[in-house]
Amino acid sequence: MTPRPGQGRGRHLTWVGAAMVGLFGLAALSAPWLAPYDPLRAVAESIGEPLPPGGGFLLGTDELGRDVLSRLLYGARISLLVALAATTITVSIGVAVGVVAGYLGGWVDTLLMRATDVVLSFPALLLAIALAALFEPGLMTIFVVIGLVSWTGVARTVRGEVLGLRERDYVLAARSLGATPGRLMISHVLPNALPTILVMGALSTSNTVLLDAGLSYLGLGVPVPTPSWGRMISDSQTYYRIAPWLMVFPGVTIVFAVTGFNLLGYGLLAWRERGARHA
Amino acid sequence: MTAVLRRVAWSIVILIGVTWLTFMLAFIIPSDPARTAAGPKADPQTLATIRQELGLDQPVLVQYWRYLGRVVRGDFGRSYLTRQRVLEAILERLPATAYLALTTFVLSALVGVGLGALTAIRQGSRTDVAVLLGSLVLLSLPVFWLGMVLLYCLAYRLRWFPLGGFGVAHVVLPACTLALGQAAYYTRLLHANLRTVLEQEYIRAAHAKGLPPRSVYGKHALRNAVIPLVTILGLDFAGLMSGVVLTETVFNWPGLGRLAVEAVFNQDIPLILGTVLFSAMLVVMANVVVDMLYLAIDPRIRYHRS
Repeated sequence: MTPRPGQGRGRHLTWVGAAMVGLFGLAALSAPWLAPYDPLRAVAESIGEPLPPGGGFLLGTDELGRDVLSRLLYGARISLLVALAATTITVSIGVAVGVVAGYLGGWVDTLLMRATDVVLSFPALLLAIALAALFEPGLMTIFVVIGLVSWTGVARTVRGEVLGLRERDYVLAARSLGATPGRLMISHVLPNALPTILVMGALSTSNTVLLDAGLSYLGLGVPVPTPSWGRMISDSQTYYRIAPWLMVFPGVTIVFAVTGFNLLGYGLLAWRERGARHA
Repeated sequence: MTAVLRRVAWSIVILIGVTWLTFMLAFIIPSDPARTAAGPKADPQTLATIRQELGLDQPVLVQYWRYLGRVVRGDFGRSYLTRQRVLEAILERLPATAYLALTTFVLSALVGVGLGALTAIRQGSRTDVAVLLGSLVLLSLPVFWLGMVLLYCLAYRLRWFPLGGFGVAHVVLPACTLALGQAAYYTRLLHANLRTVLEQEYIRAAHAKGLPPRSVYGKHALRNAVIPLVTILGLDFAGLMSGVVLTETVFNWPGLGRLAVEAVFNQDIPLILGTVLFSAMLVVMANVVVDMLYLAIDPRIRYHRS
């Protein structure tokens, strides 16, 4: 393939994405020091009437007199926690299924890939809603639910990668030295699939943040009063005529985080493809 | 013909997997499936009857076989709250969702193919970069938030559209909400497909024999670039349904998605599982239809297989 003129910018976008993700992580980690007020307590005197941005409250207050900025910062903690934990589950299931199916092939591959097709047939959010309704509400439920519904993409991509890797000479060499399938998969195939896994991890994280926001918008996220971005948006729906800022700010933070992970993921992907072409 | 049969056979296998998964959700995960089917307020006698009816004392495979039998006959159970048949409740809401989904599809396909073609032909131009960045941001928007922003700006502030409800003018905003993300996705895909096609020999041949660019791009290139898009439509349908759930909630649209959300609020498990099973079945069927379409419009695959 001939080089494309757009590719020079691609590398910058990776760094922009990394910076956005870094900023998101930093805001989440340092929320207790950055937040001007307690996110759970009414700090404005005007309860029942949200205050617009400005004055003592940089991003305004909500209908219960709580500071929006502080709630956003603490909401970032929940989003980051869910993003990391749920993506870890997603990627673990996906990599396990993908490596085993791709490496062993045969009926194991057929079985695992059909199982993947089955899960793919369910609209992710609907399946997540059903699972969330069946389990006790809480953080653990969110991690598991998101992990269970979103591993399919990772599994398919990793399987495709492993199909190519298992034919490599070094795998053949290790096999002829008598390495067991388990060892071959873990020490020879898996490390070489890491770049792909990293890209899929970044892209799944953006998906995780969106799913988590969707679940908390529907009231199936972290239980109140813990601030979460999706919940802040759904709460703002009652007041959008008089207090649109309640709706705008949490949305902007979600878009910021998701765009960051997407830029990082697509950037790494482009980078990897360039590397593969030069090799 | 064998290709068609093989695909139908696989989709039946997938459907069995789908019913097995929903069966597990309904009967294996809950500690008391009878209570799950009857609701939290059911008295002990009703529970006993239901246990008997569902055969909960039987081995799991027997239970699954009975469950499959009920599903095949269209018996998805009854709602806790209204005692209405689940399938009936679903079919009542289906037209509204179909209306919304179709409008979304037409909008997003038109915009996606248009922008994808434009940016692929003008690769590297400012338009290309702007559309690329725009589509990345659009793909990162939470669909429910986009819906609320459109509702606030276009319906509440500018009063171009109604604030909520069901009708022709009412479908525009929810359909745009869903279509913006989809269109961004189609734009990227068509862009990539068209770039690949434009590097083919037959395109160079078409240029070389002096055809006007419009006919080279429109006739020779675009048709071949659109075909692969058809394959992903089936799977996209699952993604679209996820968006439908959120969008219908924002716009109070009386469809399947809102039915599921209402069921969650009422902890109406049979209704939730019914909508989940029904949507998954829809997705599987959509995939079969799409596969057939693909076989029908791309002769390369037919000849390759036979």
